[in-house]
Amino acid sequence: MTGLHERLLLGELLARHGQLIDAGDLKGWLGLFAEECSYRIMPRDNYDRGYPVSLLQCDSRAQLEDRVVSLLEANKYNLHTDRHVIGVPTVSGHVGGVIKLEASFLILQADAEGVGGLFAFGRYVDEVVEEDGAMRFRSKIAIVDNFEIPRAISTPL
Amino acid sequence: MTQVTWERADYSRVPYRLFHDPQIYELEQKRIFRGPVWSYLCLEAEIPKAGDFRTTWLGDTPVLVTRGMAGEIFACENRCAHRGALVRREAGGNDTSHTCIYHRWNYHLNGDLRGVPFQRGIRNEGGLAEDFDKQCHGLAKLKVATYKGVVFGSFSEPAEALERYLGGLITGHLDGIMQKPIEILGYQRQRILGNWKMYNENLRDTYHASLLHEFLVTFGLDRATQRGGVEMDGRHRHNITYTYMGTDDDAQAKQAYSQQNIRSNSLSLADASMLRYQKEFGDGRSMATSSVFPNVAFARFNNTMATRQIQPRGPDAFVLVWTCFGYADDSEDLRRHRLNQMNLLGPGGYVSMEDSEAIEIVHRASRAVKERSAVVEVGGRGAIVDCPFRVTDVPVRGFWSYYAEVMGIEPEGGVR
Repeated sequence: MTGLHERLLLGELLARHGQLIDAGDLKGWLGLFAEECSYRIMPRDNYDRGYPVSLLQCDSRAQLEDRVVSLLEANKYNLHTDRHVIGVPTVSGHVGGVIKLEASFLILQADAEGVGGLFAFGRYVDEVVEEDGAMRFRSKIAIVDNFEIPRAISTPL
Repeated sequence: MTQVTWERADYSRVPYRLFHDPQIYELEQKRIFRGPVWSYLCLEAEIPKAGDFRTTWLGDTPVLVTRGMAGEIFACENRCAHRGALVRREAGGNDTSHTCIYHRWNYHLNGDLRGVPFQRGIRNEGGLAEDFDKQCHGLAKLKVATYKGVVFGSFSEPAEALERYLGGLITGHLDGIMQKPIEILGYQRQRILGNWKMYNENLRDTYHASLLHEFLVTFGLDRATQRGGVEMDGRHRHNITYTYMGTDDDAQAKQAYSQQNIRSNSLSLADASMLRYQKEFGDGRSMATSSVFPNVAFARFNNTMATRQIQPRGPDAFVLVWTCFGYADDSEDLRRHRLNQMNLLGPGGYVSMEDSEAIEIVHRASRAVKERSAVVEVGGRGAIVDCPFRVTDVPVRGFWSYYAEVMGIEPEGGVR
């Protein structure tokens, strides 16, 4: 794979990540993760200071699936729609078959009456692998700069 | 003089105005947050070494908590005695003194003014007058007291010593949760668009726990059919909500909830490790969450432990700061388990995300009906008493009873 081709595929993966969440297709979103995977949301403060507490922590595919099922079927949270804006990723290295990347994100939310604004911003620190001929997240950490979370976190960042 | 009309002396009706009126909020600053009650500031484990400091808020007032050179703890207003600037802008750190960036007034760790640049001017021109007394220009000091590694402060001379204020109920709870040296695992913060008192109510309302939180019911973490209840201190200002896990069975719970048309078995987890409870407290309670007047909860929920500090931001918002911890001697496995279980709590918690939404929808909808009242009479009216059952919100009335006393707005014959 050429570097340019790889960049295109990584950009596509990140864009799909945002689009599936924004469309409310969380089951489809699960498909972007590798069989062995983890997904976390961390306050930037904890991440920088080395504290392990996350805002959401799924250390296996099973835990990620549980989170999605609960969000779709059981949890009550603020009615809203999300809009992701994700920056161009930078690749910091390849280790074995794992691509390490970082990308900025900006997430806006609108409520049930159509009122909206900036909800969260920060960066993704991801590990991506090729599985079944497609790019998949093996590890994804959303590090939130505005770690005083407005209202609550429900749908994934 | 602020007058509040209570429909009932047992606080079973709570005027919505108390959540929305800016005048009430101002009075709270004076009578509660700058008044003679003890408020939570931080944990000693956050400032272990001499010179360690942390900044926080007590109501609208910025506060600076510092560990002195002899290990003592000081708390003072984090506001320069000169022009009112924040002295410390960072969340925490370590230093030998505190210096305001604006004009570099420098303070000892205890808040006393240490040095003023150009105090005598330059070439005897300018500067401060001869009679300027540095002793009169320190950072305003709070009274400080600690219990089992928990730091409390008060702006006014407190009406009672800390241990008496907390009472045996809360000191006993802290004896349990702070039984060993703790290790801070990190912080979670969220800004909820509701009045700060609604969080205190939420903590004291066990009625909602298994109705709003379907997740808890489904997985038997907290069901009204379990043995549990609420206990208050003698003055009913603090509360503990507790549950014993495994004291009901799934069939019994399913029946009780299905009679109310509530699903109790709609989900199953692919990975149930998060729900494990490893017994670690002598009282056998799997969940024990205290609400301590006015601004903190000490919560153990299965194997997670955290303080939740309430920082009001005007009548219409508050910040909730979760300080999550484990014990210094935790095994790697237990530490990992605690972190995994924290998925239940915090701004993104399976359970807690629902509390913030409940508070916000009450706040939003009650704005227009300030002269009407909320109904608080589940579990009984009249006397405010402990309940060895869970379908109750009696401790909410306890909160309002003490609140009214401190605020000086008790009704005639108000129940205490």
